[in-house]
Amino acid sequence: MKSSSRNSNISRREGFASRRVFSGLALAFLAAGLFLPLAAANDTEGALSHYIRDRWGTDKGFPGGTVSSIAQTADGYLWIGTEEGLIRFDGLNFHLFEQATPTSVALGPVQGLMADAQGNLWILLQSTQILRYRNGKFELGREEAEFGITSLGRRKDATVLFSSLALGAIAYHDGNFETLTSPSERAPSEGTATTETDTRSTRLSWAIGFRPQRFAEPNATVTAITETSDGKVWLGTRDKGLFYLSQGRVLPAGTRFSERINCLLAWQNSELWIGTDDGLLRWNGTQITSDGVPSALLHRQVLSLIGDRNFNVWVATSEGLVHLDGAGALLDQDSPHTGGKITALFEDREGNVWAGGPAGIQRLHVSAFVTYSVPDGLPSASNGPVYVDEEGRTWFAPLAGGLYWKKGGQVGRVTEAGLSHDVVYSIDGRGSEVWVGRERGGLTVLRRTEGSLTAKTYTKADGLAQDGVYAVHVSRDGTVWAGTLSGGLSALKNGRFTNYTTENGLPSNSVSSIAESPDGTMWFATPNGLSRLSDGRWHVFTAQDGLPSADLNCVTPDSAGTLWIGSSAGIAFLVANQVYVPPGLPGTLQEPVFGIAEDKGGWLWIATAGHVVRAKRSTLLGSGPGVADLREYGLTDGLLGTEGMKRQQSVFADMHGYIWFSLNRGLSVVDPTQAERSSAPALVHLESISVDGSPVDPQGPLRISSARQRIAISYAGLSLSNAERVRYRYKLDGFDRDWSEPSTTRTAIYTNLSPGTYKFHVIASNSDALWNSAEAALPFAIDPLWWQTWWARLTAVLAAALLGFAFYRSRMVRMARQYSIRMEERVAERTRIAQDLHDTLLQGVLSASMQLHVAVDTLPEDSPARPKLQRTLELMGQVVKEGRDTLRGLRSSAEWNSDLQSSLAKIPQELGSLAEINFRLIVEGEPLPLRGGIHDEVYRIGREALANAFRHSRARNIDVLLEYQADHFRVLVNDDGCGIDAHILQSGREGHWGLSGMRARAERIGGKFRVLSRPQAGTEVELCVPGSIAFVSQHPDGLSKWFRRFPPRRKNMPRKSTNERTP
Amino acid sequence: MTDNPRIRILSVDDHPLLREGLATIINSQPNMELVGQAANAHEALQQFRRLHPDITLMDLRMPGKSGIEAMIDIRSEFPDARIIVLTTFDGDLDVQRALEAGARAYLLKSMPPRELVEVIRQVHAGKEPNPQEIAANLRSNSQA
Repeated sequence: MKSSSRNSNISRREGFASRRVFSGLALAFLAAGLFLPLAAANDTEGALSHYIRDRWGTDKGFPGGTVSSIAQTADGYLWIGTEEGLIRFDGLNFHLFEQATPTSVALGPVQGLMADAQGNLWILLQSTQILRYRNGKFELGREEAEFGITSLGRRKDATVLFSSLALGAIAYHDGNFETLTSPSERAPSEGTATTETDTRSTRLSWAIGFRPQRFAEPNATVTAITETSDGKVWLGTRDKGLFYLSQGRVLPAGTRFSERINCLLAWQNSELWIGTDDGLLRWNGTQITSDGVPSALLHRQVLSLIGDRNFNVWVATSEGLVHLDGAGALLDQDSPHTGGKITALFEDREGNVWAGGPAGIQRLHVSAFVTYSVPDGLPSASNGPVYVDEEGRTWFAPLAGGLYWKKGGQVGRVTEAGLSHDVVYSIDGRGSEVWVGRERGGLTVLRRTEGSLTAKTYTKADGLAQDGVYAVHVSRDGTVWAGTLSGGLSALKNGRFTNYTTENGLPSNSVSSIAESPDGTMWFATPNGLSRLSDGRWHVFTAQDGLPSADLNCVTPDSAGTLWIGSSAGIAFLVANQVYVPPGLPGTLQEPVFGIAEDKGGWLWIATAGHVVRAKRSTLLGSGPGVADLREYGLTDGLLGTEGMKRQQSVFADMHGYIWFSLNRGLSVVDPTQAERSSAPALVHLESISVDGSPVDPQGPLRISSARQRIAISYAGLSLSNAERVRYRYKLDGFDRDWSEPSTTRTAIYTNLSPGTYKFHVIASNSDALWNSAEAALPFAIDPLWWQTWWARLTAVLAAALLGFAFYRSRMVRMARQYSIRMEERVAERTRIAQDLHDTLLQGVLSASMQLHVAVDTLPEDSPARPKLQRTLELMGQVVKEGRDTLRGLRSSAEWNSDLQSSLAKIPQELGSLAEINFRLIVEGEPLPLRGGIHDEVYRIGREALANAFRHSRARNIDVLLEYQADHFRVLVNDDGCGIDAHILQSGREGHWGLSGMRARAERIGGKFRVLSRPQAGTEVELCVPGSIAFVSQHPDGLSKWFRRFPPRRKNMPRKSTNERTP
Repeated sequence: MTDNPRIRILSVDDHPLLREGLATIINSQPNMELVGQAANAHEALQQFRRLHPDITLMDLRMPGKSGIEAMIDIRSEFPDARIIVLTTFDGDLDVQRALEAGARAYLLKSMPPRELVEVIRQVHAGKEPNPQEIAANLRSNSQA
């Protein structure tokens, strides 16, 4: 009903236009696109928002139960409280919470839900308990809010309000419950009338189920609670009407009534809407009234109330949904489908209105487009041209024929001038005139005068080029241009036609579209190119000038003077007499373009052969449209069809800035500002992480043992408007090089990650392909297995190195031992061979000598042969002698069995020195057996040195010292003779004193040889051989072979010396 | 005692060349005769049993049993055996031991044959070669 006291403060910005029931889109995936059908009381044309309805029942996974309340938390989830308990909805799936973990409370029927501004979700159970859900954990209300809570409400600062049976109104802020009702108003404890109530026992008594004597004021069950902008807390009761709190005192508001108050809605100007079992009421500041309540709602049971962001009121009644705006009440005629009753309402952060009923939830979704078609009164779904005049009347002509107009909810048909039997190709107008171009009837002008239409028609008879007029344009100077089907162009000015054909410069006699630039230049689009008429001069643009195709469909100038050209091969533009094609065009803009219009926000709305597209004008002129500069619209946006119609003008921007599209199905109109408002970005968060199938707590630092190999991270981006279109991109720092391709999968799986630190990022985009930059991230680390850690590896490397070193040493030692064994064997063998050789040789020579002797004896004394043979015998004697000596040397170690000191001691005797020489042999240390090869060489060196001393030194004393130490063996031959000339010392006269020979022998056995001598001061010859080389090994094989002992063991050996004097 | 017109000699040496040399020397003497040769101690004993020579020339160094051991073996069976030891080397300890073990004399293989023959004659004549002479021999030979 029209209400005179319509509240002018209700904004007219968004309201309802006319809506009709539309059924039959069950084909559409998921969304049953149903329009909210409402009988129009009266509706204004200015409002264009339109709601698409989607439903979720048990067929879509709704767990069931009558919905009592709906809320949404800051993370984007929708929470639904039903008789079954608490359900969480993410746009795609429902999740029923059965247990209020970590408490032990089983989530029973939920009575109320509210999400406050501090990130808490408050859940009121039918058991009058309060639960708070925060960060994944439930918590029971405590202290004042432990029991007896009957309703849940919202304060004006978006914090929560409770009504407690015992304590009255309670607010919650920053962890504290604060009772608002003063103590005097609270329920008295039994037997006392003092204000010092033992609130706990009072509460307990409720819990046990005892019938209380009294509640807190207002001494009735509070069923609804809210706060208006003036700070008053309102309490609606079950049977005592409305109360409010003022300074802690509970006061009645208005007269008492007995109908149950189900819901309260705080409204502007501190007004209050009151939903009762018997209709909607209003508190106007002073009293409860029915003023302003539409008649339809006067006696309906009102179950829930919300006010949306456009300041409309939604009313949930037992017979369906009612929408209230400044224009009036609009009833939902979809009731038969919903089963009627709506029990809960909620508007989410994206502006969708959610309605809960006995068997499921619905979402009423604002769409960008409103589409009118046959159900709205249009004669046909497919229309051709569209034009909106200055009065706001939309003129359109169906493809089949006729001319119609639509204004508000009315659709009218033009029958004048035989238009109902003709096909109208184009419509244009100026002022109060509407010009139409017809298929057969030429050109008709319609004028509206005093409520009626007058028509005048021009045909060929009047000078029109052809009776088939395809394009019509009324230019600013009043000239009416008519482009005909094949007869060229006609310009009507001052009642006279001027015709132009190809002979005048038109590229074709068929004109498909006409446009006028702000500077007055006329543009004609033909199938053969673009023609420009300016200052009477014609110019033609063809494909050679850059047009993607010469077959043009439409031309539209924009506010800056750029001419936009829709050709059959895509869009192009002309600026400064030059044709350009925007770079980087997507496929949609390379289709045939049928209509282009510019909105006031810098966007071009384009209808192509198959798409409805909005593109940012500046990017088309510049570097090409990016992802955010282009958007396609489809069925989910309110369109019924997306194919453009080829007409002179099938896309039109009206004076309000709305863009009208004539499409293959329906006449659609969009409010660009509505489409421009970007929807809230999808809220992405990580849902769960599982490692090898076991879930892992996402809170806290995550460390995964490397033995587990499969990590699955589930995430969700919440956008309740269009959950199926949410897409994700993710990246794992430390593994992925770049973001993944957009996809709808909600789980990322990684296997066989090597140890290290990682960070997982995921971002989401909502249905508008907006990649919100806020991302959800999860850092985690993979612990290395013990054998992967750096220290284990280092230890392994060290161990390997040590092993290698040990192996090497072992080999070296073994090789040295083998070498020395071999050397000894070789020495032994050499000795043996030498012995055998010498033996045989010697014996042979001896034998020969004997026989020669005998032979010589038989020769006569004077035989000339005798001296020669005697000489031979002497030589042989020498050979024998030398051979004997050599053999004796060879045999010394193996066969003589004498130790070094004895053999050295004998040397003076053997040398047969006659001089008086004192010879001493001194032994120091415990004599150790020398290795065979060493023994020989030492003996030879010693013998040579002694021989030198005895023969050449002319000394009086000659000493030999044999020193046995654990680490070395030393032979020292000392004489006090004449010394060796320094020069000879250095050069070492070969053969004579054999110094170099001795040195060579010493080096061969690895010993050090030294000669010290000064003329007249004596000579000292020293040979020092390291113990490990000199001595036969005393120790069994063991660790000692690995290391040289430092310092060597020094045996304290008793000194022993033998003195031998030779005569 | 009447001179046996031929002294019967057995030579024991492992070197065939040397045996040949000895044979030449002995056979060049009119009153000597080489009745047998042996290459080792075992053969020496066998030959001695068979031949009963007057003099045995025994090489000191032989493979297997040494000359001294062979001499001891022979003298244990034939205490009257007269054995002269032969050696390449002078100053050999074994020479002392040989003389102590019962050798009548020693000979250097490098001695001129007439000295070799002379010592054989003297031993056969029953004379003990003078130890001093031996020593002098030793010395003179070592300075040769």
